[in-house]
Amino acid sequence: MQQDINRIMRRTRRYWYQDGFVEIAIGLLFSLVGIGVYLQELVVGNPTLLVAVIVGLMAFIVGSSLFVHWIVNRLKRRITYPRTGYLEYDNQRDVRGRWWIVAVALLLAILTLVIPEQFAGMGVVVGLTLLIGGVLVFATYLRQAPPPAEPADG
Amino acid sequence: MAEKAIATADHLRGMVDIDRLIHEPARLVICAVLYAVKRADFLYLHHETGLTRGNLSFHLSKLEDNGYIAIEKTYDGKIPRTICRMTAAGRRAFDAYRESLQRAAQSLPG
Repeated sequence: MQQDINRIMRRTRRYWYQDGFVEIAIGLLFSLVGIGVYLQELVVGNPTLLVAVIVGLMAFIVGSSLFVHWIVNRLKRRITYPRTGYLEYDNQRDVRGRWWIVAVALLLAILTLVIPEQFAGMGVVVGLTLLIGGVLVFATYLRQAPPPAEPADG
Repeated sequence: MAEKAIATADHLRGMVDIDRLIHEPARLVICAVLYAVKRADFLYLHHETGLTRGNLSFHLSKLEDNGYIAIEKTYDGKIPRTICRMTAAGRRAFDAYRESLQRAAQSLPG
């Protein structure tokens, strides 16, 4: 019985992720960042264009990080809630889990900077872009989809 | 051995005082859902419990009458929406229910 109760509660907490909109949005963000990096490679011989692409990419990352929350909520209100119901979560957050993911993102981003042979041709600028972009995207993702704190099951 | 048997009996006797309002399976699912979130609407509870609308409405009213949940009728545009949330009293009652269930389960042999 206790296991059933816990299962229901866990399923309820997972509901936010079930429609996959957050994952789709984050996937699109990463894809667009990838396109930005590809564009940087194309214009690497032209300093003016390179700066424009880098600044544009940064602006895009910051802008999209701010708008993802709004877009995901709009999609959920329009598609998910009318079909399967509406849930509102507490603002509790699993701080330990959040910092663990951010730390992994930071580590991966730093690795792109300190192991140049593994990421030949990417350069410091691209590494920094990935660093800032990765942290922003993960922070945004976690802000929108906070894993509700799991109470002790006793 | 005898002390353990007495403790087990005490825990099982505690089951007699279990909150029967929550113990009913349909209301238990409702409470488990509402305990995990801040608010949930009627549609979500309908999907989650698998109850008919009338049955769900009856159980929600029971819980509301006892002060375990609060029900709010709102509109999302032109669509009516019934939002339910668990009150502080409801959360305390659900905590107590889980504790008594846990104690009884632990005291059973095997």
